[in-house]
Amino acid sequence: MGASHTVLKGGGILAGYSIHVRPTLSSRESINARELGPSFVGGLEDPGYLAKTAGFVDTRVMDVTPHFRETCIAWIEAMEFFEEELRAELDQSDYRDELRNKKDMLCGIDKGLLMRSLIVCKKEG
Amino acid sequence: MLFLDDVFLARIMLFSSRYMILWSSAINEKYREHLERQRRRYSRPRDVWSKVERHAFGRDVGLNGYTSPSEAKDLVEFVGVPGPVLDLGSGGGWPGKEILIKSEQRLVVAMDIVLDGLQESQRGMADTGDEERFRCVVGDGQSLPFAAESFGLVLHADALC
Repeated sequence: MGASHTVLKGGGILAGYSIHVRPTLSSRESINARELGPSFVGGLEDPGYLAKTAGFVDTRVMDVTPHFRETCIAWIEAMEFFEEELRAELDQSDYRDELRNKKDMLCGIDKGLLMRSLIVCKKEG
Repeated sequence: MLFLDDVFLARIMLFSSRYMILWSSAINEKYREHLERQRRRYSRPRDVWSKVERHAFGRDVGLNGYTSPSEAKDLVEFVGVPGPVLDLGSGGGWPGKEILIKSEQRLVVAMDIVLDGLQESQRGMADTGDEERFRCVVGDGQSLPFAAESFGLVLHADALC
């Protein structure tokens, strides 16, 4: 976020979706969340605070987790529907890895550990 | 993949040597695994993944993450201030293609650390008719190889995690 703040013009906007751990998790829950989520999910626990620390103003964090959950389910269902073709085309470990990745994400959401937000913030100026 | 055909992008060269040094010192094992996973995605046969994507989302847009078509539509509505648009962690070009189409006359710079994705992204822009406004840069999001105050808008989709 700090790097984005630097390259933005004054008044410019940083906007995007990000998966992150839910704030106020216990230590054990945080560890579990990091295991289930994407590679660097642990570094984005409080996007609003991080945006402020990076120098942004007018930060809005909008929870899009329900839609994210539907997206995960859609991926899993589609990958299982085409399992035979995918296994024939891909390296076996690649298919398993990708499917597990999606299922872990869904598990993290359903356990209340992971969420996804649309984060919009502005550089003053 | 660096285009140097205008003054703005020539400034990138001032930062490229610094970027390369920072990039090599920041790589760790987890990051390497992440990059390797990303590279594998771009080497997959497109036919079967297109079927998977159409089954899941009704469209084939080169979606390899979690940003659905409807979310991409919301994302590209942001305008910022006049100036180029940076698609941070652009991957294989989704939702970058939507960004290019909606950005109307603005230069769009796609940046990712995985070259394979940028190459796929560039191929995907060919049918937009706007590819002359599109540039690709290999770079690390933690140390952006651009001059300060270069962009009016920075967009990303799951690039911070």
